[in-house]
Amino acid sequence: MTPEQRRKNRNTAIALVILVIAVIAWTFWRGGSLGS
Amino acid sequence: MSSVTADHVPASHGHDDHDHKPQGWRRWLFATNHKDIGTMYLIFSFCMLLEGGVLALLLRTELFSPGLQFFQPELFNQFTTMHGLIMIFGAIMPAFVGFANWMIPLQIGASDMAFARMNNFSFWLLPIGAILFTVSFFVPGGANAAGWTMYAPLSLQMGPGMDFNIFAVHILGASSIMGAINIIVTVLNMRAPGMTLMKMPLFCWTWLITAYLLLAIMPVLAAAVTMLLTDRHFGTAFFNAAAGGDPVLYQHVFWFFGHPEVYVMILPAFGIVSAVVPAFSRKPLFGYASMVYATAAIAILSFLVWAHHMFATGMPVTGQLYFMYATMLISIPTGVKVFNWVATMWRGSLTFETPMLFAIGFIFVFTIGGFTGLILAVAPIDIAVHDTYYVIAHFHYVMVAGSLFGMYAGAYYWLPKWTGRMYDEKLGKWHFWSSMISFNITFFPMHFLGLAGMPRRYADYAAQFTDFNEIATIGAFWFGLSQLIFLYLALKAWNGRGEPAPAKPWEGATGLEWSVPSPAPFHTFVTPPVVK
Repeated sequence: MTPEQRRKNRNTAIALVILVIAVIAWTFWRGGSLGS
Repeated sequence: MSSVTADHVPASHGHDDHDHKPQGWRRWLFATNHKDIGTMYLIFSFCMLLEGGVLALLLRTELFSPGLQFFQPELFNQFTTMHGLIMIFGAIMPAFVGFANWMIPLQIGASDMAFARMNNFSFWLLPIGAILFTVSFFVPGGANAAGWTMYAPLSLQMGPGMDFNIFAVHILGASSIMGAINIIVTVLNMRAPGMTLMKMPLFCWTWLITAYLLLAIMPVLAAAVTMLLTDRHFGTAFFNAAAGGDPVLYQHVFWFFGHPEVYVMILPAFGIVSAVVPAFSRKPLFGYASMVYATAAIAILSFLVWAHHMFATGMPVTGQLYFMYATMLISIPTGVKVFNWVATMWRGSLTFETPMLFAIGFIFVFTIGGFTGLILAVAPIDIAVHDTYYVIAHFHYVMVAGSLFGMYAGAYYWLPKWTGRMYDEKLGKWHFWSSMISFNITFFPMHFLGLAGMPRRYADYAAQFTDFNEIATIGAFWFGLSQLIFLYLALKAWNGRGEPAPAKPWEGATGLEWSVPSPAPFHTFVTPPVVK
């Protein structure tokens, strides 16, 4: 795997991790607001 | 499917020096090779299938007769709960990740998965989750008995077994998220030159879409069970009605995960069947592009229908109407798929080797499960059969005859590539017919039990349900024993016994995986092939 390929893979993965964190945050936020 | 041919296929460099592999336990503990990790996933998931299967047989043993014979209701409920959780998170999901690990790099011409070490970590989280599930039976109060859905308030009142359960779900969810990221990055960034997205085998497409589904839903489950945990131990009141929380909110959050999860467990099977049917029909897949769009449509719609699991909670009529019609919409892209498989077989040069038998069996029984799903989508009917054996029958037609038969189709199809040996065709056919007949004997009577009003998750039942329960129990033991045929065939091939397999054992098979020798060398596509 070339360094450029690694960089591309890492950047894609970071974007996906941000998506995961956003979904967790959204669930807590909705859970909190609807529950109260 | 697009027919892919490689211009130049330097599969393994042609001599053994480039086929180094670690030896002994290090090979497996520190595995970073996608084939080794795929193998470990498949072995793990089969072990969990056996564990979940034993729990199912214990349930069926108790249900053979009315009254309590062997287990108290508390233990029976632990068995039902853990059967579901182990089968979903331990058997079906990891098995499909095993298929993905083995086949996606081979099908797109990549040398390995994008993140090999993360791949190793994803796998080794699984046994930890499995241990947490299993040992929870032995903590005070026993395992989670609130059902695999872990509904509040029951889950808030369980003993420490529930905490084991929550941590297991966290760990298995983290494993799934890492696996999904790995698959998405591999498919998006590591395809061989010329392998455009619309040339990819459908298995890669279905897994790409499944991986996005996983990324969108596993964090929701993780957050939901975390809220359960904080409600249980840290004084929050998300779902605790006594403290101002809302138990129905848990159901909304859970099913926002839970319904797409059904498609996580079935879309990869669609991909496998879309590979097997054309191969044994000796025709390209009918409507490749429509299959891709149908898969995407199913995935999108799966997010919009979650509350059809909650008709009995007392939702407004407008809500019921919306969720009823939205659910029915899913039958359109699903119907496109079934039509395309049948159209692929139409006027094909069909042969009925074991993978094809399982694929046709899948189409037949999965469609029955789909139809009962449509019936359950009708709100007034759902309220009548909610939490009855009709629901059990429906989702076992989807999960066992759907996911499991799809996996068997894939396992027999690719076993020669994995092991370098052909399986015994006669025994394979025995496995199929024995499974198909016993599956229907087990689960078809449950439709009648459900329509007659037998509730799920009870250790006892009224005497009028006895006959169908006896039939179901006999079928269940028959089905369980039938799976030993597969175990025997897989172990035989794994041990290098049986006829040597050529690189392409199936005349009609297409795709890059058949361009490498059987068994696939430890390293493949070190130099990417050029796809025409």
